[in-house]
Amino acid sequence: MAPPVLRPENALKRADELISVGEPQAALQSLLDYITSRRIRFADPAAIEPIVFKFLELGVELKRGKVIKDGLYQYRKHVQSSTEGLKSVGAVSRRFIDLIEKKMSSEQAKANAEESTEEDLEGGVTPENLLISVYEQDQSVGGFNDEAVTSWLRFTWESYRTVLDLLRNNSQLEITYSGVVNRAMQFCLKYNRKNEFKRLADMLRQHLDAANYQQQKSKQYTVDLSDPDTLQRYLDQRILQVNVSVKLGLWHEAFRSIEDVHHLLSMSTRDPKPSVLANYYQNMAKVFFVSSNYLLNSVALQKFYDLYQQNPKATDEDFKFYASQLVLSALSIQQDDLPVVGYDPLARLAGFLNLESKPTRSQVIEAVSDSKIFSRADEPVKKLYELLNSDFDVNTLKESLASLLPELNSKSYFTQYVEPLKSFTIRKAFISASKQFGSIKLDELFEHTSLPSPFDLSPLDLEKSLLQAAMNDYVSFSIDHDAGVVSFMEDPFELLGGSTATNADDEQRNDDGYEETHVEEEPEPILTRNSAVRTQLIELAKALKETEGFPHASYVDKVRMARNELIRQNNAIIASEKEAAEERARQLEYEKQSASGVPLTAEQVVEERQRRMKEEKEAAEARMEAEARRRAEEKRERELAAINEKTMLKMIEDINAKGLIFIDPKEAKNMTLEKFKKLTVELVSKDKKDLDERMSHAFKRVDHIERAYRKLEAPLWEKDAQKQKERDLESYNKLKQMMVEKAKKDHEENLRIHDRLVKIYPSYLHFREKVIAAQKSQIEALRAENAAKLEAAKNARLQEVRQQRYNELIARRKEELAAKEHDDRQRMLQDRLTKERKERERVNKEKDEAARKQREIEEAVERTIKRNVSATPAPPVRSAPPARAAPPPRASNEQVASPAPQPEKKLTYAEKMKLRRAGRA
Amino acid sequence: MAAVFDDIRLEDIPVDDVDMQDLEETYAVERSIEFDRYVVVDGAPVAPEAKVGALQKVLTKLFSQAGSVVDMDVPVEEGRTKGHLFIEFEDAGAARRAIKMFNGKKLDVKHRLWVNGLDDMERYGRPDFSTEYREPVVPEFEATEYPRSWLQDETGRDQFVLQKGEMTAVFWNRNNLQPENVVEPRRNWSNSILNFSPHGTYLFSFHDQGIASWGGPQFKRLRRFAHPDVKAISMSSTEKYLVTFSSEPLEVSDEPNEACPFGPESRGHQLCIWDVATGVCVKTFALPPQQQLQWPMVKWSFDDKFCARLGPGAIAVYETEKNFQLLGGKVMKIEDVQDFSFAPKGIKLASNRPNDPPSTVMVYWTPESNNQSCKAVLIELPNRRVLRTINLVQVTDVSFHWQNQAEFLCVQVDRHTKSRKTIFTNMEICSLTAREFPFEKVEIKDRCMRFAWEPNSDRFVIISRSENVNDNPAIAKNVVSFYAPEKKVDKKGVIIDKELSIFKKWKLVRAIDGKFSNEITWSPAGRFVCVAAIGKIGSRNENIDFYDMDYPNTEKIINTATDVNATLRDVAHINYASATDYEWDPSGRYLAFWSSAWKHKAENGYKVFNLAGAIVREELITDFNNFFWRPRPDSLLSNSEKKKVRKNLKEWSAHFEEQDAMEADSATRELILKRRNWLDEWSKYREACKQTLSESGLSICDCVELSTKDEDCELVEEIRETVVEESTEEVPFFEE
Repeated sequence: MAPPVLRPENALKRADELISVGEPQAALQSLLDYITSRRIRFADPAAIEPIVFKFLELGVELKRGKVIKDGLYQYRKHVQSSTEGLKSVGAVSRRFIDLIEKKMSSEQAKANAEESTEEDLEGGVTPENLLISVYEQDQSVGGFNDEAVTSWLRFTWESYRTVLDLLRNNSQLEITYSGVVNRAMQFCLKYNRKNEFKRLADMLRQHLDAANYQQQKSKQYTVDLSDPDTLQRYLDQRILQVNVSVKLGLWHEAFRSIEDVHHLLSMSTRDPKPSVLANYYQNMAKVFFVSSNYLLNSVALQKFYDLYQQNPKATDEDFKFYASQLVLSALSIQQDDLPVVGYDPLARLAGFLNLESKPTRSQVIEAVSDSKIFSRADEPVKKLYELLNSDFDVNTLKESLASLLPELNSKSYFTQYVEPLKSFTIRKAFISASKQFGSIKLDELFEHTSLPSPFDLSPLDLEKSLLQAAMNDYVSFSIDHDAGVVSFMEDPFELLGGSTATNADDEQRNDDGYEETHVEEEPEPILTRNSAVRTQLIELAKALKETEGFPHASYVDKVRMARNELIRQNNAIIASEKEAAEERARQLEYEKQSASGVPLTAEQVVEERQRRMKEEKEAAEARMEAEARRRAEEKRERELAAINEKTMLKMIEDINAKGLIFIDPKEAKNMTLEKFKKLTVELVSKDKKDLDERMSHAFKRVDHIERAYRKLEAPLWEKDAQKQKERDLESYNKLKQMMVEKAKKDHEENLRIHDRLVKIYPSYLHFREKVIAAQKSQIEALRAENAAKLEAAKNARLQEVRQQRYNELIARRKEELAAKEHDDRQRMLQDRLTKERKERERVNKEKDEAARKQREIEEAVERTIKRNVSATPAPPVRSAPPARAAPPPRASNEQVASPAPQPEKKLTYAEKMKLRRAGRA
Repeated sequence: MAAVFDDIRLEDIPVDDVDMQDLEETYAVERSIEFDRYVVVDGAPVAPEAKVGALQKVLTKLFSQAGSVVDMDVPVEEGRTKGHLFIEFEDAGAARRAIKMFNGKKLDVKHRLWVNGLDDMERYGRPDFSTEYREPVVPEFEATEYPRSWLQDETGRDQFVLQKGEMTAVFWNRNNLQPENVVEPRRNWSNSILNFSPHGTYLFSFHDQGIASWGGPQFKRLRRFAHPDVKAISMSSTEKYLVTFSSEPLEVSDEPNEACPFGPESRGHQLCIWDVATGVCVKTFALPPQQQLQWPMVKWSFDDKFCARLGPGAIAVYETEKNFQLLGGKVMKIEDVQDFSFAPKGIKLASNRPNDPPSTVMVYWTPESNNQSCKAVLIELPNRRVLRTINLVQVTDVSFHWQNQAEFLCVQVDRHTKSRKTIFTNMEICSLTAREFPFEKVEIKDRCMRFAWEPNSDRFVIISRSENVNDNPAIAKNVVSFYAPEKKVDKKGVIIDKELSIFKKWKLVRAIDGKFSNEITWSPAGRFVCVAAIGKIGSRNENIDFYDMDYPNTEKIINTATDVNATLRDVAHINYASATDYEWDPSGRYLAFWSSAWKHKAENGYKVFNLAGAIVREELITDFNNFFWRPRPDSLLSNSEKKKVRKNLKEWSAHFEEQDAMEADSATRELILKRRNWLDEWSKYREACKQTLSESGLSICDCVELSTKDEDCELVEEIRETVVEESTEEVPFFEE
């Protein structure tokens, strides 16, 4: 049954329903079907996401890794065309990882919890459930709990792998990718999955390779490694990888990771964060330490220390710790007084630390002795340093170390360097012993070199390290176990002769002359490899003996010299061989030129033959090569020619199809574009010329024929013209006849009609009268009617007009009246105002007058009072006038100017009259 | 308040000045007594008075067909009707219709009705009607100047007319030289265009009052054809008759008027046929009712013996020589006939006897109906014998293309597919000179837009247009196809299959697609054809293409088919985008294109090309309107004379070359004239000498017989050395 097309919400609902009825498998399938259907390609990823989440939840719950993988890949395929889609893929992946981790941790917890109880149940693995487990989906049938956790682990790991593969190498998903990488590494760390971690690292490496490869192809959303952020992310991943691998103790993996980091660092333009880098160097130091490469360990530590100095949080304590560690590490570096002949693998490793060449111990020691570091180191370390470097004495070593070591031993950083320091010290002790004693009793030597704990070694170990030192060529000795004597040798070539005597002889002879020895050895005819080596060495020894200071130098120095000499010789040999080869080549050349007729020796013949064979071979090779090249060239030319021919053929066909010009298609082979163009132009112009000629000829022909015709025609037209008048007359007559005939016919017809109609005429007249009468009366009636109507209409019109005019007149009159009235009113108003003003003026005047009179009266009264003051008591001031004289605050505007403002309106008529009378009085 | 206005009284308002004109007009009774609503009917049965009612009933019913009858007056005398009666119709139109419908109608075996208007009564019925015969007024005979005098031009030149603004001028064409005026340019010669008659004899001009004809050496006015407001004219095949059409119906007053060329029966007619030579109107027609106007409305047989008009469901054929009476007295009823066409020439039918005059042939077609297929029918006139019928199916339209000699007829059948969505064309080509009139079918996939026969030949060119391509007008999708009859020749070029000459099979010579071309024009002389895209202003490409159908160099032709009687070659491509019209000169040597200001205002002027597309003359003239050549009648030379000319073309050529050189350059002209003088002098001298010699009894032997035998010949070998250059150079001695 085809799954019905669903809307997103319905898809969810359906899944829920299926789960609720206990069909989670079906639900998962339905969700898978939905998210893998093509139509979601056009849907909004945001709408689909919840479904994918649901799907993932269910899938994780059911542990259907393959289904999930399928679903996720399909989903990515559908949505990856858009940026939103890719974002959604990222979100989905994160969600998936979240889910799986949650599940994993819960499972782990369950397993842990169960473990405790399980122990009591003493393992439920019974044959019965073993059988059941074979066909059950659920692997966690009793007794397989441990298995269950493992299977969950596997599931989780698979999921990581799926997701990483899903997210890899897409610039849009980079961040999610790096997040998942981190989580995957954490997972490995947490559950201690070393193998998985290795695989993970491999996978990441593959991804990076792919990214590098993709770089060249321009594809959408490719990872751009030139982007500093991206590179940084990758770098961080790798540094973490180093970190984790160190933590997991996967040294090999760590080393490979370091390689990766180094590669990325070389690409990066931006410096990584110091802290990260410091951590990286620390890890690196660890790796080198584990690989017992104390030299690089020390260098790495030194780098780390340099970076660590920038750490603002670092305490003096930390510094002391790291500085001491660094000094110790430097001290642990193996003796490297002897130069290495041949290839040194360390050189490559040094590259990882950005060192140009392999550092030497002395360089490192020197760097360490820098006050910045050295001053911060612990006191005992400093002492050790002094002891081992400047004032090393075999005799006092034991005592000084004895005092120093217990102190050092208490330091945490010391223990790991015990081993290298011990071996270093012992070796040094041996070397100095070898210098001091020509031969020494074994016990004595051991006594000398047995150091206090923790540098203590059993005599057997001591002997072993003595042998080791000899192997490394720092000392040379022979042990006589019977006597228990060790005799050190001073000369590295002592052994060559087999005995010291011969050696002495050699030396003596050497004094005598170089030639002799040579001669003496000459007769020995057998040239074995051994003897060749020996001769070589002897010669070396001879050469060395001549050098200054050699005889008196210590063994080590002698070895160093020898080695240096060897290196020099090697270089010289290489150079001379090179020269010889060149010379031989020149010789050959010359011989060839001078066509030697000189008889050759057998050897020369052989050589010559070999040389010739070689030459021939080379020549043949060269010939073959040339042949191949020529053939390729020819093939190319043939192909080009074929293409050319094809195109030309087409062009020729095209142009031929136009029909204007014709080029033989067989010519296509020899045609080039220029030739073709030239030919075309030529042919076209030729054709054009031809055409023009032919056309002008054609025109002339037609023209001339026509004119000739006309010339010949002229007399005929002349004849025709003669007949013109005749013809005109004829046609005229014909027409006239026709017209007359017609007229006659018409006339006859008319007559016939007349004959017929004349009979009707009387009744016609009668009818006519009747009609006239009828119509007349009708018309009369109409006229009368219309006259009446006209009259009425006229009257109506008059009435209407009259009324209208009347109305107009009335209106006009009304208007006039209104105007007049208005004017009147205006005038009246004016009059009144003037009147009032005059009145007021008059009243004021009167008042003034009254006031004056009043004052006079008052003055008179006062005078009287003054006169009668003693006689009569003061008369009561009863009159209002003074009070009234006081100006009232509310003077009306009009009377502001009046000297004595009188609010006349306030006065009643009676008062006015009173005033008037008073005024008059 | 009212009291204030006591002095104003309603009654006192003066109203004498009120205008009552309009009212008076409204109520005026202007009816006079009308008589045109009445008709008088004669020939009605004579019945007793008692039966008057029945009679009235019958007649009312009958006459109601023309219009509603208002009243009927049946005069009665002595208890019997008089056999005539008066009918009143509701309006004059009904009365006129009644006269037309029932005058002369047979009521029954014994009675024939005669219906007249009361005005007839007045005119003819009066007892004092003059019964005297009066001679018709025929204009006096005037001898005209020879109207074909232009054909007598010494150098055989052609004339053309230029119209520019109000000016019109007639010129002699002088190849690439400045044209020569025939007459002084005239102002306002015509209201609109001017037209030559088909053979160039007359020039017609349009005026408000009618048409005027002009002719003779000085283009004098010959006749006037007073048809007011003429819109279109056409000429009969032999220039005998002129057809004029006016959108206004003729108004003819009742009184016979000397000046009026129309009789009373012409009232309301719109088509007139005039005798060109005399200017007399010989026939008028009303327009056929409810029909699309299709010019020309009157078509003429090749010899002007018949003319025909298309009516609804009928073709009316008139005999011109019998006063334009209908052939056989009635129209040819052909149900649903769509179109017809006369053969442009008389046809010597294969069934005719050798001495029979050429037959007049007509072709018409009828569309598909329910029970009949579409038919195209060839009939012979005047006997109306059906010569051939072809049945066609799924037909949308049919058109006829006659070859100018009427040897072939192409019936172009536009057929639709069953879905009726696309239309394609079949061409049924009939050979009219062959027995049984075989039809050969040429099918094309697209719809044919233009078809053109080569004059006097059997080849044709079509332009077709594919309809199912997209509608972008910017894409050229017209296809120009050249067809020619199949030709099977053996290696020596001799035609193998003789039958092919009779039963022709047309083959596509070449189809050129992607063109805008919409017009085809063959040179009247044949061989050359020009295909042009007219009305495509703005096209930057060449829009005029000249082709030669008989290109002499058979290697350089663009044929796609080889076994055809054509060697096609495109000879010129010209860009003249503003061209609006074109016309070949009558001889087929020159093709004029012009851009008329009537159509648009861009680049008005004309260009004349020769038949091979080489430009001969061009002029840009503002307000240029029209260019047309004067047609020529058919040549009077017989075929044998023509053949002779072609045979002796070299001599003629020499002559004309000289003439042209003279025309072109005055120096040459003088030289030639001088030479001629010398020749004359010498021949005179020679004559004189001959004279003197003969007088003295001697004869001249100016012809010396030369022996051509070998022994008489001597081989003279002459070796001539020419020293081109001589130089001396001193060479220094090395050994010194």
